[in-house]
Amino acid sequence: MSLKKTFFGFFSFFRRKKKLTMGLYGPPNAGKSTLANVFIKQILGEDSELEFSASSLEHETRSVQKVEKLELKKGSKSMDFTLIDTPGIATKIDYEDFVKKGVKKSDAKIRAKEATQGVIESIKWLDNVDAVLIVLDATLNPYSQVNITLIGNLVAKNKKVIIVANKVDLKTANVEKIKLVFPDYPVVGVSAKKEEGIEELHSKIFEEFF
Amino acid sequence: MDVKILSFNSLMELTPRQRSEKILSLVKKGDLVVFEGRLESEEELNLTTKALESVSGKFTGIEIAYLGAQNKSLIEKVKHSLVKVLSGKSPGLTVVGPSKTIKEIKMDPNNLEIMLK
Repeated sequence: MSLKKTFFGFFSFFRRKKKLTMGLYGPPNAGKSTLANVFIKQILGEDSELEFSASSLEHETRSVQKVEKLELKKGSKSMDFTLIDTPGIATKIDYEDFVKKGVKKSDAKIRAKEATQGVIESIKWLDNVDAVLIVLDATLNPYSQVNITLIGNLVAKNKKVIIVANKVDLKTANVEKIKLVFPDYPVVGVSAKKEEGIEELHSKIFEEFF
Repeated sequence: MDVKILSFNSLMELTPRQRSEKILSLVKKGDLVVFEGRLESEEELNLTTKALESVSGKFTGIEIAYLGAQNKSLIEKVKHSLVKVLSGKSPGLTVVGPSKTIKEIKMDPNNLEIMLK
């Protein structure tokens, strides 16, 4: 072995690096894209033009989005990761729900069709991720079959999981209930909108995924 | 809406693909399907995918819920496995229905509440 290799090999022992593909999964409107934007802004800087579209209307994200070559650092550890933001997993999509929220009928039909394709694409992408942040709206009942099925599939596929209880800035948020429903998984409370709890989430990512 | 109650055996003698097709064909007709036990989580996700692939103006997807121990403690997992080995059955009950007719299925570990539109 050359002297150069030995030299860099010695230091790389201390600078431990991990590469992974991390997916943001969860039901619609839980705040996955808002959380993805927080990651991007914190890592690439405030000036980054890269931003995912987030909205209070369900199924705003209708195709899988990918950002490569992001790096998280913590002490001597660093993690190169590809961030995958996915359309919310649902078992039903009805264009009339969009119409009720003020979307024109013709646009609602297109949105519903795109959303349906997006959910199918999300499900297919489960095979391509190494680790998953399941983003749940902490103001809603976490005990739903969709959430349980999603977690069951991730476990069956040997994917690492952290549950992110989002929207903790809202009065009705209940992180403890999520912990109670999913006692076998790490749960971190955050507010992606107010960028609260993000440091704790970074720590948990290193703890669980590194 | 008709309620179709299927026996565990009638479903388990089918392949996973046939099981999904049978459940989905009944739900697409507008039936509420109830059966003993539950599908594997991969099968549940596959059923969701198939349902979404069938979404049209008339069919908007499914509502699915399982009543039984979902997030089990270690002791419950052992008990669950024992029941499965001894009886060949998975305890609990699964309900699948068309989302066009079912507004919501409210779940808690001991109760299912099906709300129709």
